[in-house]
Amino acid sequence: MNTTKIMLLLHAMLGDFGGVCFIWVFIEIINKTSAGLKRAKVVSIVGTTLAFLAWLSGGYYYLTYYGSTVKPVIKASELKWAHGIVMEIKEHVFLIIPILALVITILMQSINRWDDMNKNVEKSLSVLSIFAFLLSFLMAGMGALIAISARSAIGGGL
Amino acid sequence: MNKKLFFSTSVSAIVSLSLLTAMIVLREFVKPFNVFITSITGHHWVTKSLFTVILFLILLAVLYYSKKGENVEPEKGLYGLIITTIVSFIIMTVTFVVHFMMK
Repeated sequence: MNTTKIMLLLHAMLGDFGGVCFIWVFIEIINKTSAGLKRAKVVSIVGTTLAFLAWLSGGYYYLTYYGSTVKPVIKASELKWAHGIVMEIKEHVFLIIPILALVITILMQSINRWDDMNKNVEKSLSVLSIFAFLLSFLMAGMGALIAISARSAIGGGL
Repeated sequence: MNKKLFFSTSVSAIVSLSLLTAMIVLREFVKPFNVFITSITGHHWVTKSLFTVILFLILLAVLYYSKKGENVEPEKGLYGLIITTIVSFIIMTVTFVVHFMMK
């Protein structure tokens, strides 16, 4: 398997595992156990790291292969919307995730006890964690759609 | 709870995501702007990526050490970030759908 395909696979895996980290953070915030605060801090750091690694690996694939090889194929087909709408949204909405991840991680590190947070802060951090999770899995779904469109454009099946 | 940290983190994220969204819209509809941001790093997406994260980190440091937000309730910044995230997502999505339809 060549480097480009490895990067694409890594991008998808890292992004998905990163998303799972933020649903984990959400669950720890809801449960509020004493051991859970430490887990939430660690998992948020892991999730942010995975988000940045997904960014780098996806960026590598996008810049070295997608633009020159996959994009022209999709744009020349009946499925041009797969690039024109889906990929364009994906590559830009993705940029929200590392920022949300950094915010959640920085703020979780600053909390010493669950009681430090009032109910409103707790709900807000929960919502932001859910957003990070949902956006990560939206990226996965959009990526799958683009891949299927590219394969279909060259006559391949599902 | 470190109110200053909550304020500086939230506001930095709000500003970074808002400017990212503005850059995205401008790039799609204003050709000279597209040429400009592409010329900075060689690719528009790389410029936007680097700009967003670097701006976030610089603003975070500046706001934190400026001691702003010491008396701001922490949830206000987070509410603002939640709204910014939703609005940015909607604007980005609509921008690309409209731009595609216009072609």
